[in-house]
Amino acid sequence: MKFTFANIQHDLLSPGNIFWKKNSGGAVLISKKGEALNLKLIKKFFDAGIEVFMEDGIDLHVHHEMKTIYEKYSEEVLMRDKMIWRDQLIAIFRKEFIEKELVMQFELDHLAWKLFSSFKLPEGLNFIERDTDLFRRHLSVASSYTFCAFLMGYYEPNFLNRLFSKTLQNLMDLGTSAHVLSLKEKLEYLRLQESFSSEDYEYVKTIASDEVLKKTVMFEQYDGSGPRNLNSKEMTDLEVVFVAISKLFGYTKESRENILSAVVKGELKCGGRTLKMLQKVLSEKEKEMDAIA
Amino acid sequence: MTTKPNKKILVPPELSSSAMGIFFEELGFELNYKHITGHEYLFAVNDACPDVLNVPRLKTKDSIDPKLAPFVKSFISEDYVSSIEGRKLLTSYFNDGLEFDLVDRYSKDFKNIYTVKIHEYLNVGYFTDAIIVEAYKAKFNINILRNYLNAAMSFAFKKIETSEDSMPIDVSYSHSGEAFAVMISMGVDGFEGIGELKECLQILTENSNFFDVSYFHKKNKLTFSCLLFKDEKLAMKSYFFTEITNKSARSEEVEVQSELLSGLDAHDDIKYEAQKIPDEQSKKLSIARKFALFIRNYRQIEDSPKKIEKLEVSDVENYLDFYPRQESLKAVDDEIKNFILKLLKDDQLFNGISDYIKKVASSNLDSQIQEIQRVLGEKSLSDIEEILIFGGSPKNDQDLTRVKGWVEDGDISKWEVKRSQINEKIQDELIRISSEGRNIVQDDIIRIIAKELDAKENDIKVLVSGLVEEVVSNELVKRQKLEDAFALKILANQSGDQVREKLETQIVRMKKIMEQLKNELVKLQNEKIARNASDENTPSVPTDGSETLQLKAALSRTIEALKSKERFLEKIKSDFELLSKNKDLKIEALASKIEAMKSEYARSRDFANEEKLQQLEVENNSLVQRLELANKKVNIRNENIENRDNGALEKSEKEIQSLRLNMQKAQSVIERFKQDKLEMEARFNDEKENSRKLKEDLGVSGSGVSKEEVAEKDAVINILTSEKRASEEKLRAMTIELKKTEQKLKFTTSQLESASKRKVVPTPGQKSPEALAKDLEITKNKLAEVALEIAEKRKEVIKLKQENTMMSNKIAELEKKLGNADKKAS
Repeated sequence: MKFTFANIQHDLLSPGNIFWKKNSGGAVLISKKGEALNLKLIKKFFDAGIEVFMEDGIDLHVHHEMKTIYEKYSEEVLMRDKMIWRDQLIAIFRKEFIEKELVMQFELDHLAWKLFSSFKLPEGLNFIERDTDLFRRHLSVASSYTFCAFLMGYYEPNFLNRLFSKTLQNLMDLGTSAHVLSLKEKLEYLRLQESFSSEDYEYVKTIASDEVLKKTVMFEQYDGSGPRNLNSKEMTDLEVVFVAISKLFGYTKESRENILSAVVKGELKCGGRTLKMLQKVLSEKEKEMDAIA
Repeated sequence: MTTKPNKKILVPPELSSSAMGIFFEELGFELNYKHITGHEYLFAVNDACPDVLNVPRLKTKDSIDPKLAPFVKSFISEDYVSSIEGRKLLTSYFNDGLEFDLVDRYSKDFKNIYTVKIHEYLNVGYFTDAIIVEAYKAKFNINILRNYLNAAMSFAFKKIETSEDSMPIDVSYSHSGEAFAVMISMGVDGFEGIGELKECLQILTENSNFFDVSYFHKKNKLTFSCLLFKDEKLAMKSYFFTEITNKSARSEEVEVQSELLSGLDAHDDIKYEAQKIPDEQSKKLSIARKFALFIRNYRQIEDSPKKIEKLEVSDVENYLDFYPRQESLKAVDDEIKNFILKLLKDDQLFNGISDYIKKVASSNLDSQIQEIQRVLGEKSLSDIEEILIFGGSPKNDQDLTRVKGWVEDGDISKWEVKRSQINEKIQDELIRISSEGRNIVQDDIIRIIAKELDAKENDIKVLVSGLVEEVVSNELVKRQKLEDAFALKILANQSGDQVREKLETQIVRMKKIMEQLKNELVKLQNEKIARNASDENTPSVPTDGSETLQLKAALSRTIEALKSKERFLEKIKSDFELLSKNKDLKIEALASKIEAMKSEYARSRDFANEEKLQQLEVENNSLVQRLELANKKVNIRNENIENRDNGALEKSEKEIQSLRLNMQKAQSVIERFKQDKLEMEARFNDEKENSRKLKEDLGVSGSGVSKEEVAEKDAVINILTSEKRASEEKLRAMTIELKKTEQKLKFTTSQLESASKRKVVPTPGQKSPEALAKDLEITKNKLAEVALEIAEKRKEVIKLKQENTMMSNKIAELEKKLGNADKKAS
């Protein structure tokens, strides 16, 4: 698929390393993969007819295919047929995110932004303006969460969109009064705790108001030591998965492998049962697709 | 979990001696008859202590004081205590407390828990079906389960529709060999308890063995759990309403052995079969008999059949492999196979069964037979075997042996002719009789045949069984055709290759049989010819006439049978050919459909149809051209910019150099000027000294220069000194200014230098060429400004020089004047 401006005009983060090719033959990096996309500049280049090319980019073709299938899945009213589209989508996930080695979470995030996001571009730019790394981390959590929900059997597209957008918005709204750097440090500290002491709870209070804490499971712990004292038995399956995902993604810059392969490798620590189910959903499709083929 | 010490319950006195009371005691409850204030009671049973209203009530019977009815939270039917399953369930419910989880509990044996989420009421049917299919596979009563699920789901959706921002309904289900458990949980705004369910409660309780409603306050979660025992004799009913403020605060998650599965993935193809009606066993009998007959016939054409006493089940299976319609073998299970073996070995049993089936086939409306069917329905085949042999068989041994030997009847040729006629006649008669609503009994058939053959009914009796058998088997053939039609339907659901394979193997098998039969036929014909020839050859030596007759008859019978078999097989073959043709057509249609789908898919992969692609290509070409054009333009522009930049740079460098020269000159001028100044000051001081001396001298002499003259000179000198001061200050200011301009110059040159450096290694992404050009212009402007300033300074320097010369002139004049005054004084 040729790289055109239309391919990236709705993107927030660069789908690959984008270069400006100079007449002398040299190339200058305009936007780095996964970093904020300098759309204005790229548009200028495209408008002026200057050659711009992408390297190490995501497979736009496959992403387009997934988007098309998801659209068909969304539009389908009959559950039986909807499930067929779902199976097809999961089969592609398998092929693209699990069987291929070292596919980064960013690629899944990029897809999630296309499939589930109800944010407009300026809103996204606001997120980036606050802090790109914070945004990228929260985006990874929101997209992983939504994909896991999809795998767990939450099938309604509107619900998935709501889940993604609300999660991202709530995460970005977290600790707006604090300075970003100290906020990231605090969150990273809390992320690494398996159980909260009262001091940790005070720490949480500096980030989120009581009102927020009443509604969210963001700081809950499986042992029930979180602000709402919900233990893993009281949590819904979605909440269990959310807590595990929050613990998986750190606030440091390094990027990690995508959530689907983390599920298959058992790196997502969300209790044996839920994990096994997710693994089963991701693994059993293979045979069925073979049968269809 | 161990029983807690505080387990007091209130019971009516009569309960303590009942099974329920004893059971409660076994559970560890402390039964109390009187309410003592201050004590805590878990619940009150039935009408116990009617004044106590703050204790939840549990009822074990339907009739309860209407005054207490609103406080009833649970119901346990008395059947519970009388069954082991019920006791186990209740023990678990009361002892496990909050850890009690139906779905988990009844999955341990079977490992799997399924889960589905339902977002919309419109999709309930699909998911209910998924659960029903699972229950059907596990052989549970799906009607009851469906009733329960329909009621529960409609209540659940009504409940969440009123709540804002509702989450999907979460359904999990599991089953063990014993029971099927379903748990429906939903997030709600609130729950008011038992009253909210109204008449729904009745339906839910009726259609389950155990029904529990739990409301979790902390999370506003409502769950409906239901359990259905497989054993339908367990008629116990119950419901429980539980409010839970906090679930266990245990830290570690109790890992359940069972596995969670997505209910969305259950795609096994399950075909519903109508529930077996009680005549299943008689159907089995007829199936067993049908195949036993086939094997018997087959063994007749076999080269060296195994001895009937040595036959085993595996042999039966081998024989069945030769059966033309393999689909109809589906119904043959191990029980039937064993029974076939028995039928083959035991002629008495075979005839008994035949007789029974005759009755069934001839009189579907016979209530007596229905009664037999009903009785047989619950028996195994071996039970039936006994009934038929020892009780029901109307034949005696003698008859049976005679049946075997019916071919020995002398009048064979006549019989052969009449046989087909009789067959028709019987069928007509059967239709007539059954249309009259009368039962066809063996006597009727005997009567018809006797009439037809002009024989005694008693003699005919032995023939009847064979004939009726044929009529019945005709009936069976009709049924089989229906089965074929059904088989076709099933085949249509299978993939083309599978069907083709199946059909091909069947055809091959058929061909084999055909060939075998043909060989047999040819052999027999040859034999016949040979025998005929030998008969002709030895007409003078008549052998035993009856023997020849017998042989002939046997031969003709065999030939007849073989011919009919051949015809039958040919028909089957053509049938199969037709079928395979149809199948091929269907496969082709499917293939074309798949092709169409594939192409559609391919198109979807290309995101657009070809037209769009072409359009895009054209667009692309034009864009490429435009790009090239723009590239050229940019090249030219870049060159222009570079040229201009180079020219400007040289110019500015020259200017800077000239400026520097000027500066140096100005500095040297200023230096010189400073020295002059110093000299002038020294001279001026000398002058001052001189004039003071002069004054003193004048003052001493008191003559010579007039006082006025001296005063005038003093004034002039004063003016001069002040002027000098002013000029000194001016000089200082000028030097400061000069330094400033120097700095400015340095700054601009450094800027220029860095700019030119940047020009040499341009770093795009920082400053565009336009910006650089702008920078250059700004520098140029600055340079011009500096040049202007320097010119002004020069002017000033010149002015100062002039002033300086003027002043030195004046001083020279004054010196002269002073000299004159000196002269005069002397």
